[in-house]
Amino acid sequence: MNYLYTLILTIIIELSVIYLLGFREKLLFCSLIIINILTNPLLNFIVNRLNETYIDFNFLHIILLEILVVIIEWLLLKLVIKSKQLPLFKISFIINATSFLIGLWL
Amino acid sequence: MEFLKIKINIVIIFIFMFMATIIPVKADIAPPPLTTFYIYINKKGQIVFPNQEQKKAVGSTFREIPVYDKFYEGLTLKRENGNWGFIDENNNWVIEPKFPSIICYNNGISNMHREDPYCKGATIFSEGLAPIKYNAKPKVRLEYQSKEIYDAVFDVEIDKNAKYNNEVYGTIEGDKFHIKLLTKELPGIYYTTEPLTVERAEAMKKLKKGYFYNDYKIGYINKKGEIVIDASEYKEILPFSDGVAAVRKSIRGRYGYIDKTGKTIIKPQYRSASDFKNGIAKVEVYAGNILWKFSLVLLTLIILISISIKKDMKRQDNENKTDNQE
Repeated sequence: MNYLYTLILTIIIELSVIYLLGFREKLLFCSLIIINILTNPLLNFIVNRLNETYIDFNFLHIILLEILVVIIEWLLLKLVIKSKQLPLFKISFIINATSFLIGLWL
Repeated sequence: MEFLKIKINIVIIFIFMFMATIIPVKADIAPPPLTTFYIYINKKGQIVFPNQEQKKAVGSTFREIPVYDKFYEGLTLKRENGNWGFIDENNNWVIEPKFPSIICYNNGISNMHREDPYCKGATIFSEGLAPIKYNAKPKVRLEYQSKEIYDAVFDVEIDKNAKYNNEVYGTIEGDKFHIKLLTKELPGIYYTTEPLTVERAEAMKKLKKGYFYNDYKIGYINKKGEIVIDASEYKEILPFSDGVAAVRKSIRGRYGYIDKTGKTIIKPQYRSASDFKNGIAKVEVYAGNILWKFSLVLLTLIILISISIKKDMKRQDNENKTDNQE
């Protein structure tokens, strides 16, 4: 349930950011939803698992994992959307950074 | 070719993630919140950067010391007639059983009022001193409409076998307050000796429930069983190592360190704290300002990249328009 809540919240935040930035491509929205369904629960699972496993696990590791997610989402977006016009890395960075920032203070 | 490279990268990333998920879980370790950092400090409270060997020597911040049936400096705990003392390896009493309670922690969490077989942690001899509870006074704290009535704390005569916090219900009879323990293990009625004032009696009429507990002092004893450091101002005290001990003033408070005279050498500020080994300890600090600064940096980055994306989009629109016109 916690995973589902995080996933839905992340998708809402990320799609809102994309919409606010002015993107209207349906493919981008759909890809982001699917990519999030793939990556978000996995990330949360890894975070929880590492958190239980390592005493040294801290905020810095979360940041590193988030960077990894940005890269993965960028690569997956690149695979799905073969458009050279869309700044996919920037999009991946900005949506993940926003959801991470909101998640930090929730 | 580029597609193949991306594919390989994705496979590598997923292998890494898979490896991370199959690491065995140590479920008994309390997970730290994500807004804290671990650092190493010296006895002045300054941050130090130890090498790998020093880090290994310091170990974790969570204390996992079995209290029962294990000898520390040649002594182990033993209980007789409801009181705790210390015996040596020949089963001879070194410190007579006169302490009503010991200090125990589970998974780094303090269980000051619990004494169960899972108790790990504090009442062990280390550097000739052991943390202990002493001077127990059984008391009853009453609750009135879910608020504790602090002035209605009575000293009660209590059964020696009583050892747990128990929910109690009370009634007034004359000038005595009856307390009935509701647990099956400890049935019985206990009476206060303190007379009731009119105000108290009024409050008692509406009394619903209260708590039975033992009021202790805590401190350190030496191997003669004498209290050598009175640490009553603290709620949690840990064994000495390297001449200092981690202490905190409330169960949810922050850890600081005291020396063998009981003097504070590092002010309370850490979420968790380890023993000092070779002048170094591992402590958990709250991110606090770091989190704010990080958030500000991230927010600035988000704004800058948003502006950059918007500019890119405008440029592309213009390019598309020019192409169409051509």
